[in-house]
Amino acid sequence: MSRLALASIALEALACALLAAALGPAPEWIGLAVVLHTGAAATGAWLLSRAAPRRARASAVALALGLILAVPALGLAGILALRQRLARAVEQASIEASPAPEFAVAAEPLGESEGRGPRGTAVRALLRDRAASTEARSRALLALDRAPVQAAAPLLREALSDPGEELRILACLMLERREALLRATLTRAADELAAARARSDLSAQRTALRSIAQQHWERVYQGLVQDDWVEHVLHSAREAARGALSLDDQDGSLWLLLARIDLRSGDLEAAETALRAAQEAGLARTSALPYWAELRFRQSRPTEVAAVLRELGPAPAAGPLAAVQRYWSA
Amino acid sequence: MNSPDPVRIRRSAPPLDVLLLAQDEPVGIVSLVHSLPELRFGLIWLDDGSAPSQDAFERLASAAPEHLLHLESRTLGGAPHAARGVARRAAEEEHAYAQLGRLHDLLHDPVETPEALDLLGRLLPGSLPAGPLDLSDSLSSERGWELLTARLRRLYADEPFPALCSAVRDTHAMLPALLEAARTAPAAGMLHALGLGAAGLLGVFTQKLRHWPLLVSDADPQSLQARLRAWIAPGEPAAARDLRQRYAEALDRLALACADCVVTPFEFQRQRRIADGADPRRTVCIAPAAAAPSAHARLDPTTGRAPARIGVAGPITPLQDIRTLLRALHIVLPYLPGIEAWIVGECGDDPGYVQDCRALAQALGLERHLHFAPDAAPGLDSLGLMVSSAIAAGPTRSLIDALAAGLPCVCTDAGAARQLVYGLEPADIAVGSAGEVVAVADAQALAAAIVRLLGDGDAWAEASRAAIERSASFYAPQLAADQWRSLYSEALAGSLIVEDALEDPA
Repeated sequence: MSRLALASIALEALACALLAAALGPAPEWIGLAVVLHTGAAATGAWLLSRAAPRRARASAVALALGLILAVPALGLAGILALRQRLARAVEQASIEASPAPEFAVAAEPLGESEGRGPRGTAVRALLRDRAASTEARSRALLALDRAPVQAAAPLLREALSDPGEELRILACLMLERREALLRATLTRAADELAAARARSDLSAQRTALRSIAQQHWERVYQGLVQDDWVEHVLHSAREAARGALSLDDQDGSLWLLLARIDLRSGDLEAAETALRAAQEAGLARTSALPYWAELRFRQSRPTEVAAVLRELGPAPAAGPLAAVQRYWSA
Repeated sequence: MNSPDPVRIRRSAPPLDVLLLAQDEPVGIVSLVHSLPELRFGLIWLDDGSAPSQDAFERLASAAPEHLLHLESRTLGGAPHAARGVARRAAEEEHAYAQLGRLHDLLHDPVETPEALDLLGRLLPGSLPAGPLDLSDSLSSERGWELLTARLRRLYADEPFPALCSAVRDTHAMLPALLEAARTAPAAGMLHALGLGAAGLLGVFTQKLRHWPLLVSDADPQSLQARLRAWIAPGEPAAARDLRQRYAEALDRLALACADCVVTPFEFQRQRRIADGADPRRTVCIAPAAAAPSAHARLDPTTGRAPARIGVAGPITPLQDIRTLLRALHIVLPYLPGIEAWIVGECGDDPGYVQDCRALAQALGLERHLHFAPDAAPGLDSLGLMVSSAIAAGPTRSLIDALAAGLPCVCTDAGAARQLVYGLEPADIAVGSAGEVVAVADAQALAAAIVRLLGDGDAWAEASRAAIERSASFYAPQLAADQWRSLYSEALAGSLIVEDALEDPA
């Protein structure tokens, strides 16, 4: 039990003794008894508030003050017992209870819509408003065409199960168009790889493998593949990246790509190795810092997350990373 | 300038009974004409200049039955336009151009379709004695150019003018060919436009000029998809896409408003056309006919269940959402380890997407269970289920034929799925469920329905009975032919107002 707890018990005991005296032979002690009782209540309330989660501190203080002031001696005992239990519960639940910063991938504005199409949050609102006209919702969907891919893909995917057929078709065609672009680049790179292998051109092989790894990764990053297929595509991306690195291991940005692939797959050990290799290959540490932070977070090493993010400087980030940085520097 | 004779077949002198106007669907045309040998048909084929369109026309010409007495092809957009040199007074011309400007404005607003139609009738050559404006001249004359540019600048002040102009030019490019086809069309008792778009517009022009009844049928569920695909075509500013879309919709609305009867295969299409402006009293559904099955699907006598072999309604395209089907099969696998899935119908013309589906099948461990070979697919009678995972109305042929073969269907809730599986009219609903309809893009629900039907012999047998009964009662070849015959008779007799039996939700 802490010293403060002992002190509050001592104060309360003294207050009770003075109260007993005040009720009998020495009524002048009543004032001092009240002061000591209030002091014990304040100490008890402060103790409880320290043990309570941050968002519940005000209510904890109110509860403790009310209980101790209204029920002398027993109130304090109850609050101290509650404080002990609360401290243990909060300690056990601290990891789950820490709210993670929200990665709001939808940057504002959502897209520069040409002409008179909706913009920003209006797009999301219109898409989810099933009472809106099909034409308005279709135009909202079309506005996603110019939005950042990571923001657009989830909304397009959501629209695939919309009750309106027109919206479903549009969403499907828009997603497919993005996929077809990536597929075309992938096919071209695969052809170039085959040609480079035929003429034993190692440099061209490396370039083609690098492109293949990037295109596979883009499909995952843009949210164009889901479920079990993600791992399959990540595997293809990893194989191509490793193939390119086996031909030139001094490509820092490709090591970084490999680290991101491993991070996405959940292979944290491989991701750490790739991040180290990226820096050894000359990649600027600031480029790798966000991924170091993600790695340390997923390795449950919170103190190192904060340290890595501090390395980014006072305000270097924008968008979702800025929110992460603010959270960890708080 | 002499252009080649567009008429391929001229078997006898007009008049014809029915003049068909079509831009695609050669198979549908041939089967329609074959089913009604007592009528004298003619056909104007609108060729968009592409190789598939020309091939389709050649196939049509080679398969033309004897009672297709007239067959001609008109190239859209490619025909040179010779100015007719109609002498007009300046005041009349000014008035005509003012009307044309007003028409363009009206086409932007669905509510104004009747007035637009009225104006169009007055602007068509030959419809006014005082020498009307030739629509097809409107772009090539200086006055027409001024009208167009002023209008575009007013409506789209900040948009790139060349792209807008190109959208207008493309939309107008088919007008000379359509007007010429309408003027020279062989005499007929009635017109039947097979589809909207150019065929529908030719129907409108011919009806306005020749005063024959017009029937518009909308058999192609792909038209909405094609329109939306064009809408998101890359490389064109949004305003130009918007303009193109508005023109396309406005011309479709004109055809729907003009039609004496609009025929759709299924109720969902009928409702869509009503929403687009068709008069509900002038709409009717004529369902496509099923192919006669060689045999009916049966339960496996040893297990008392249906064979764990499903047909997948093709083609393999993103809109058929084959990936959701693959995910569903992955879920089904532990319950039915021997399951086989065969793509039925077309394989699809997108090799990239097919390749992706193969890769996904491999990733999910389904490569031994999924067969991408429609030509080698087993007959419908040896399958256990027909499955469609489409996110939009797709080709319904596989589903209709499956019903005829007594094959229960598991479909996503798109297009005509509900009508085919659960029925539409009270008598149809009373037949029972010929399978299950599940939510779109829900692999879990799709998998559950497949397991339920393939795992329960009694449920399968009941669904199979309903499928056969529904097909015989509502999708029999003779039924469709009788409905067309009756509709044509009414049109030829001049009494084509359809009081639809179905209660209209509006």
